[in-house]
Amino acid sequence: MARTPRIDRRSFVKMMSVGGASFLTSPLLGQSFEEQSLAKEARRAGFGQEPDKGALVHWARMQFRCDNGVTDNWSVHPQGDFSLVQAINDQATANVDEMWNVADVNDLEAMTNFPLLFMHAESAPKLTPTEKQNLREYMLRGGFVYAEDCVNGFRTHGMRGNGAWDFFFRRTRDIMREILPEAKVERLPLDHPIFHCYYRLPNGQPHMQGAPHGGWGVTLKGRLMAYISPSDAHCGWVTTEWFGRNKAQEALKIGTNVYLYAMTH
Amino acid sequence: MTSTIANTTQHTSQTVSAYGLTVWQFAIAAVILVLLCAWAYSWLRKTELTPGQRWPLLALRVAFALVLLVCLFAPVREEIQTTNSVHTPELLVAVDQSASLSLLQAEQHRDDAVQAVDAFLNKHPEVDRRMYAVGSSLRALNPEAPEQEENDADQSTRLVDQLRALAERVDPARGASMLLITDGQDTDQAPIADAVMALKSHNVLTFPINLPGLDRPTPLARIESIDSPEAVRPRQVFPLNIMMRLRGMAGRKLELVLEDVSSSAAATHLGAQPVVVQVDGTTRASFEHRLDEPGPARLRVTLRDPANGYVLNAAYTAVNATIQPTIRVLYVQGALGWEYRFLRQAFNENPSIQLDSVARIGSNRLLNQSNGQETQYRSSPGRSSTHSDLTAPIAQSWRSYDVVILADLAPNELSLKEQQGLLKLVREHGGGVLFFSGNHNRATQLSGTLLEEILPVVIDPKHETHYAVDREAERFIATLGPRRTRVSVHNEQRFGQNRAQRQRDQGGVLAHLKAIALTQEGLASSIWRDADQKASLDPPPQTYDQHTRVRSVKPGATVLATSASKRSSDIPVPVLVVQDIGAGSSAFLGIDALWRWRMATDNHERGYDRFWQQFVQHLARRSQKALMTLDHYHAVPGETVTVTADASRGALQLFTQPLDNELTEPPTLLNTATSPDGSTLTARFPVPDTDHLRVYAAEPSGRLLAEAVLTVRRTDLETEFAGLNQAVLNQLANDTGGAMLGVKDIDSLDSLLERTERTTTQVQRAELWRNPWVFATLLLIYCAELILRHRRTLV
Repeated sequence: MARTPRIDRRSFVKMMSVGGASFLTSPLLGQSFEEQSLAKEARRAGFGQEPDKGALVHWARMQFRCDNGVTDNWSVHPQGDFSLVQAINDQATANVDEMWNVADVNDLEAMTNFPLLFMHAESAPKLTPTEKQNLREYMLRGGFVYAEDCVNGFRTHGMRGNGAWDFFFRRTRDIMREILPEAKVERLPLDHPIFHCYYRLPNGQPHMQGAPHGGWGVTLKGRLMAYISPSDAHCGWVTTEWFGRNKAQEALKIGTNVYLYAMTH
Repeated sequence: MTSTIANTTQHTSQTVSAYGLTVWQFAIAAVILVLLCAWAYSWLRKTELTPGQRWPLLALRVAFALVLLVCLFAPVREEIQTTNSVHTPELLVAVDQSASLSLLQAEQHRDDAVQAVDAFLNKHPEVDRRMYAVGSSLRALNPEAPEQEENDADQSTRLVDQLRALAERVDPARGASMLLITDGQDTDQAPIADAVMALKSHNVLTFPINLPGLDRPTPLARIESIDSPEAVRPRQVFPLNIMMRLRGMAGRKLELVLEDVSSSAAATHLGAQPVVVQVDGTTRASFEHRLDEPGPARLRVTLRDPANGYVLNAAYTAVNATIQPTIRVLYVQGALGWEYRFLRQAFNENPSIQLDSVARIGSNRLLNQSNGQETQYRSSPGRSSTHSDLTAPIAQSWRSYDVVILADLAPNELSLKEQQGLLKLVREHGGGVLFFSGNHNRATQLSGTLLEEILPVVIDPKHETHYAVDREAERFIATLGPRRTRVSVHNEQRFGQNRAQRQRDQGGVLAHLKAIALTQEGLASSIWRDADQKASLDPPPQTYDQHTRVRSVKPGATVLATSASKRSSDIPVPVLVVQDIGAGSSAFLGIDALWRWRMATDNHERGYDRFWQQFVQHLARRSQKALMTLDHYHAVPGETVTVTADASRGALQLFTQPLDNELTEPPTLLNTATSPDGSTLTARFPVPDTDHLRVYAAEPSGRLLAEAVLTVRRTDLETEFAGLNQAVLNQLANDTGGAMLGVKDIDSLDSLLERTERTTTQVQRAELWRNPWVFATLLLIYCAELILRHRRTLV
């Protein structure tokens, strides 16, 4: 009975060397793979060449205050915005300026310079009556609010564990219901155009972390005025390290879809 | 009808008769008869009774027989009363209440005449009078209070017909006199001889009143014409250009009043404006109006003298707000921008505007939104550089759009065939094209293309757009490195705080934005007019970043807005230019964004939304895609009118129906002819004798598609002539035996009225035997005889 040949020491060393080298270079390969994957996705979507660009438009974050006297949480992870802007500019015909603008929610005039305001924080927003009125007026005039929950309950609320850190999402949803009682604030169905207007996202809002409530919308007279996400897609824009390449891609896809949906609806 | 006695003499006589016998004849006969009876009775009873018994009984029985005879003969007493009196004839008062007497102060003169007639009748209560209003019909007025029955002025005067009708109400045997208060104008211009013949045959003497002020040449104040579109779309602001001719009124301040008289219930006041009469007497004025609902509207323009409150003239026009079609707008985006989002919201508020779009959302990816449906298309492989299939989803239906907006679209993105289609849309089909160049300045690439012909400006090809460089953002991005490592950035949240502080230091967010300034032509344009407020829309605030540099404006183009720069050295650059080209029009909006206007105010319905709605209405105003058109909307009876309908959208039928008798007269199906290509349906019909004719198109199922109202011009003749028709009134007076009277001469009518003497005999009959005393006498005689016979024991 012939014995099964065992791996010899030389082969083992070669294999381990290749494996180690692969392990050490995996970040670079991963990044390359990620970018190649996005490029492949873009090509599949029909992006063969540099798209023609339209009129210059601007990206802006909404500045607001949060619970417990937190005043700077609205600007968390600014680099994620650049990633999304770059992704939009890379893939769509929109010409988004990389300038990072700010519009305070207590300044309606500043808000109305931007048709879309990105609202993002780890903590629950705390708006004054004037700020709520400004937010309502902004949306009624045609503005679009993209609210993304940066899920982190520990830093601001001293909580640990996953799945319950939806302070931002729940408070934002309550604010929307309060300031727009005539609008419907509800979870959007999976066949809503916002999940298909550019990239096809059959599972709806991609989930990074936090409570999986899905994508919620504020709809008045058939017009979507705000999109509220509890899933921290923004952290997926920041880096691929936290949630992996695939989820990072999904996060950029939903960000692109929301922006292009707001431009075309 | 009561008889009127002016002077009376009476004579009375009495006669008593019975069966044709006089009293004396009856008495003689009765006495003879009674005596014969008495002789016979005394001869028969002379042996039985003593004379003392016989003679009292005989007397009683003779008396009884005599009374009985009287009753049997039925005597009658007749009292004959003869009256001789002098009668005045019946007096008819006919007052013209038509619109022609509402002009040129004639209404006041007419009222003066009516008051003079009232005073005359009050002085002569014995005159029998009847009052009538003469106009389009004959109406009896209450002679005690004719002013209480005032109605709106009739829009036509059928004087001859009404005089004939009046004559037929007079008994020819009695005759009558008629006071006629009219200007003598007949809308139908019927021969007055017909009226004269009828009046003469009924012995009606006619006394026309010579209205003061109308018997001499008067200042002529006429609304010569109202230039109004025959068909508009709902909510489309349209002008009413009015031309007036006012002679002898130079320098006077008059007032033009616009009213909607579509409803028969009441006129709706729409507006008024002062008019100062020019030296040459020809004065023009303009109203702007908007019809919110589809369907026909009838508008009245009245020229008033506010100093005296007189109506000088009035004219009417009919405008149709067409049901179909809505304005179809195609928004073509070569690259995504935010304007489309707000444009979509602005048009959502107006159901008469349908917005479709095709947008290049990726280099080879198209998004088509039409009728609420969204479809994504992929460009053909390898054709992304030519983009010739950008409008492939809608290329077959260029003509179905009224307005095409080319936003951020380079001309090479349209194929030659597509460019030819756009040119045809503008030149031949009356459509509109808007070049919304944005800050991408793709319009500079129009040079040498077909579309350059319809661009209302010449663009400076050397222009380059410069954007501010954000050094801080560049430095920050440089520190980020590959996306995967971006999480390691330190003090990341300070970045946002710094940005907010920097923006505050720079004077606000996007402080470099620019505003546009309206030109005089822009302020006067219907695009910038707020028809509700009768003023211009507020100009937009600082709304754009970059504008396209324009080298020159083409001849015939109108600059509605320029760039407004804070620096006085800057030369204003045209940013909004419109031009009519061929059958259609084109426009150029050379800024990158207007949507901030909507965001800047909470009243965007009167700002951004109204501007865009009126802008596309302006561009589509010459579009020939109206479903149904008439070759003219005002006609005289018998005139032939041609109606043309677009049959390319499906089978339809054309009908006419008199509008005044809509409930009773069924519609008439018109015989139609179809064009060789089947796209056009044509029908010709003579205009019937009616005031308004409704023309409409309907599907075979009966669904109404479009309608228009044809106004028969006959009513316009009512105000066509102003002044006294002296010849007609003279003929009426002379041929009927009457006379022309001035208002001050009405008192002399007393001597002119014909008086006739008339004898009236009244006979009163009294039957003498029908008297209770006769019966009592008989009873008394009978009782006396019985008593006498009992006392003499003769029973």
